[in-house]
Amino acid sequence: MSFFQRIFPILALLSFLLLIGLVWKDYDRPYLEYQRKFKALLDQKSTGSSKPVEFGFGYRQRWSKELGRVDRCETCHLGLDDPRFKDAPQPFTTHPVIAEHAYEKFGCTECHGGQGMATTVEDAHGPTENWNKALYHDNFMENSCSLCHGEYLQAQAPVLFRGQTMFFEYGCRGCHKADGKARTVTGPPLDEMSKRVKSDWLYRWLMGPKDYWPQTKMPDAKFTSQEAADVSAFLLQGPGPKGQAISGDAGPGKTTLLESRCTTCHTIEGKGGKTGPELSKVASKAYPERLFKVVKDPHALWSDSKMPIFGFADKDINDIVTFMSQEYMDLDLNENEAARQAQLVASGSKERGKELAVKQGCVGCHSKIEGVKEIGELGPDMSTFGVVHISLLDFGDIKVPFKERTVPNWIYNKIKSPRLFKEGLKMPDYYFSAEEATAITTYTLSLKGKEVPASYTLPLGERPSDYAPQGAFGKIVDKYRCLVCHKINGKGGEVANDLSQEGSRVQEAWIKKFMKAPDTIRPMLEERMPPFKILDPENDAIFAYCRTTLVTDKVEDLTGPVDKMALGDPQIIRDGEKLYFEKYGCNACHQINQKGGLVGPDLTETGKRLRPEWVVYYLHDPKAFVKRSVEPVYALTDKEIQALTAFVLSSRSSVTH
Amino acid sequence: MALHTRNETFENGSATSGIPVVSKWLEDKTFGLGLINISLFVILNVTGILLMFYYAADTDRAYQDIKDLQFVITFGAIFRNMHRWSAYAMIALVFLHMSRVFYMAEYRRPRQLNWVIGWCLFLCTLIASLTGYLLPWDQKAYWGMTIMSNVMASAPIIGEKLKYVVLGGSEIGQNALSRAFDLHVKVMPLIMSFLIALHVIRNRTDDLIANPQLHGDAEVSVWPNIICRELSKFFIILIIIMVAAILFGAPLEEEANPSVTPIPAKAPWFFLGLQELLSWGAPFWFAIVIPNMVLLFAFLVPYIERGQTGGGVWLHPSRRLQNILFTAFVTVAIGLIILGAFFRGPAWRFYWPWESWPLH
Amino acid sequence: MSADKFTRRNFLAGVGWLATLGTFGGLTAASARYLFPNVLYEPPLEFKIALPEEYPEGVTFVAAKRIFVIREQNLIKVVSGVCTHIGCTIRWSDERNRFECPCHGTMFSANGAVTAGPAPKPLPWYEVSLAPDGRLLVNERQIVPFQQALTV
Repeated sequence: MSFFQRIFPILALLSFLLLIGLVWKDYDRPYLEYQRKFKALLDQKSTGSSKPVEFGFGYRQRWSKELGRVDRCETCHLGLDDPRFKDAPQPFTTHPVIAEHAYEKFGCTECHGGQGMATTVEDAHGPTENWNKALYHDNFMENSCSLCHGEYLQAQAPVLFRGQTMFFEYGCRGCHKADGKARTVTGPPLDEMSKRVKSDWLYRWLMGPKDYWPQTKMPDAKFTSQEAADVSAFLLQGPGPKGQAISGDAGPGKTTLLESRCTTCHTIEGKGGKTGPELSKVASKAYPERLFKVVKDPHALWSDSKMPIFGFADKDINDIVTFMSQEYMDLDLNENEAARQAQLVASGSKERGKELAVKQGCVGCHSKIEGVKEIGELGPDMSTFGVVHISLLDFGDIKVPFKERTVPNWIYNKIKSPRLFKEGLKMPDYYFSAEEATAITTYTLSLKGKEVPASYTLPLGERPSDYAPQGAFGKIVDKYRCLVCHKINGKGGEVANDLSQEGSRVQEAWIKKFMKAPDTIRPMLEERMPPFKILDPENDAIFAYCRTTLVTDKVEDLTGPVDKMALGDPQIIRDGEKLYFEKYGCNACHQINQKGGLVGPDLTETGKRLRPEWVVYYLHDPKAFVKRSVEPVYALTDKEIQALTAFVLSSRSSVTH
Repeated sequence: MALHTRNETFENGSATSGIPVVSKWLEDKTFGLGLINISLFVILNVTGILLMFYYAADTDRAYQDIKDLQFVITFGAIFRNMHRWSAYAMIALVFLHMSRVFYMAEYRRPRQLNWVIGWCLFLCTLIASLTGYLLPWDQKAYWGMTIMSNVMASAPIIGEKLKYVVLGGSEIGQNALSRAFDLHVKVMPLIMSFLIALHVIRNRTDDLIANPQLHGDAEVSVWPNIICRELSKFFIILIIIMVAAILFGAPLEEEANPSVTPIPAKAPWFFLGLQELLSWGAPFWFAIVIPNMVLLFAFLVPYIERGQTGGGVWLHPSRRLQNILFTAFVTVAIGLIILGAFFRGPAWRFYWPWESWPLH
Repeated sequence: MSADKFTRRNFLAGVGWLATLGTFGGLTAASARYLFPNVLYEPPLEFKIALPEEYPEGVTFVAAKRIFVIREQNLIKVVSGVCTHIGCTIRWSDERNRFECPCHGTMFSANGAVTAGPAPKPLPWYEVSLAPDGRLLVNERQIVPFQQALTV
């Protein structure tokens, strides 16, 4: 036999065996293992039912032509629509019900990321050599919500919304363009710095803003000592303060300051509100004449300032400033150290300081920097950063294992430690916490620069209100900055109560008195309304506007019925008293004459404060205007409402003024 | 039917009489390379036809079709792997076949035309591989084609027009994909089938011209001997291809993305030598003149080298010069490819294979 | 012995040929299996519609899927809304209690049988069952007699 005759059968057999090998390799695909496991679980859960369990082995696919996606996740994720698998281990767990997110229509990867076309775990979840868009980590999952639901998802996607808000508040848009919105200036203007702040303070501030004011939004540019001195020198160009003496009495100054409740917005030694800067060291920062100007008319210095115009008399301001100059000094400051820092600044290079100011992008948050105008883009455009290609992101000197080399990872680490990747990066450090960095990362990931077909969109959430009071009332609101703390018609802050129905709520005499001297309504709250020196014409204008515009017919229409209610009848009042104390236990949360609980407002002088129609309506539906109201909904009968209203309105303070 | 084995053509020692041979074992072995190449061609056609059932040359669909083959189509991955490895094997083995023919001086009279046909087939193989390389529409396909079309564009006078007609436009888009598909699936297989048939037939007739006394008694029957031998060689290559298909997946990168250039962008391995050559100087000389001169020379070998002795056996001493020159050519060709593959990094700078590349 | 060699050669050759046949046969079979797609880029033939409660008594047309959902008390049936003639979408007439095709005038009774017009076959009734999440699961691959209904 020739060589080939001997070898031919061997080769043929080998080929045949390899063919079997081919078939074997292809047939025993990994997903079948998962399907067998699922079938076993399904059989377990269906024991006892009459019908045999039907389960077809094979691929499952969802194809969305409009979205251009093919998702085969359900090949292994089999229990998605079966409530019996709620507690089953992944991949069989039931999909949580999120409203109408019929994944039958959307597929999976539009929201979750990953490679829908794949049918093995590593390839589907990613990242792999040829698919970098891995599954989104749970923390960042909300990023896809805005694709279909728009950008007002305060309730529905809180992490995303927080990131969105922070992106605005922390001035990210000052350096990075994103979703077509304009740059907003978030910091104060930097004109006339030499007349405003002391040079050694500015040096210390640039070296570490959080040392002076822990809640500041200004990031740390990590200047070296020389750089901080140079930038300070640059900013402090120009004549110094005139050196006017501010002479007043510290004692009355202290009283006025405490009465004015500055800690509603400012912190003093760390305690207080978050709106204004820390005051306990302000004398080491600002010259007295500047302090005077700030207290007198903050809007003239910075039109976007949130601080109201209190309307103090000049003498009072002198007293306040004198008090602050004496008491609000930085006690830890070593005088020699301060002098050394001032000297550093004095010998700093203004040209170098200007270069640094330009390079660091101060103009991204601050306006009116001498000689520095709009200088174009300081950081990369973020409008489509959520889908940036991984090869464009530099991990620098950090050794990152392949599986972690993803876009979300890079963004998160960049936001948390902006200069982590290598030397020479210039993004300043905001010292964000892990939660904050997660929120901002989620928002950044949502910037995909793409749109889904209109039939897939469903805008949700409340659009922000564009309410802007006009006329005399508008000017008063602007002067006293009411909307920093209060909300009216959807616009404003949430520090104090919503005033949208205030006209239907309060009585004229009481509110006018309150505006001049606000006292405590809710014992539990720390914030207190500061006493502005509201002028009488202003007070009248405010009330007129409230009574005509900030009303609700639901309450106004009750005027007729209330007139017929005989709320002065002593028997009805006694009935009300019984209901108040015995049946409903209102005193558990409310105080009358210092007896009772502290949760709700003090009801002692309600008869003078609230309008009867309001009380009636409120008892009828406590959550009508404030959805978060703690008051229980008791479903009171009309008679009970009448009695309780009569009683509450009848209470009078036992303390004589 | 009686057919004459190639061995017996020289078995009577007509070519080797009186002249010492280099290696007894090597003597006049062909390793069945011609047959192996035909086997590969058959495998490529069959797997190619199968792949076409699930592939559409549409830029929106092509990449997804490859993913479908890999993930959801029964034997899809296997056939695709077989197709890709057969293609690469064919390029290498055709080159080896050509080398074997040179070393045995089988291009001499009356086989000159067959040598030319063989080189045409080699070029066809390269074109078929290049057009096939574009079809998955992934990053290496897109950027590989970018490099190749730019090399074409550097030809004098006709360069830009050539690139325009090859791509069907000024950029690599749907037109380029459709043209590549047409060439790959229909034009090259047709031309190659025809040329292969010609090549094989001429091989037999050339024998008769060279050895008119061949109509002798030394006959070997086709069945079962020839078929067994040929099938055995076919099985060898089939086994190798199947093993490769089981063990190694055909490479696939990310979907083609014109805005992201891989660093560095490299041509397909079989043209990497050309890209390396290009980096040495002006495209006109190093991409057009030198390669074309080499090609021209290669085609004309049988008309230039007309020696009478040393044919029919490997590395005959009387052909020392020719063999050395040819070996140099092969070494350079392969060396260029190795250089381009393992020693070049971003900006085409020299890197040792173990050196890491900066990513930015 | 030459006789032994002869048998062994034949045997080996036979094995060789059998294996060859097996290999090529196997490859052909593999290719054949390969040609049957496992997933389709088409709307699925098995799909879910709404919860049973959302379908009122009588005949409801589900336009997106071209089917009619028919409820009689607590029995639910699903019939195709595609005319078996050329494929137009048919309409239900409450007054006349029948399906009518606007294209060539075919009329189907409430049971799907052809009562008039050029359609050659009655309307197919599809199997309907309850999916694990409580919604109706229509299976157009499975044709059932018109009497068969799902009890909800």
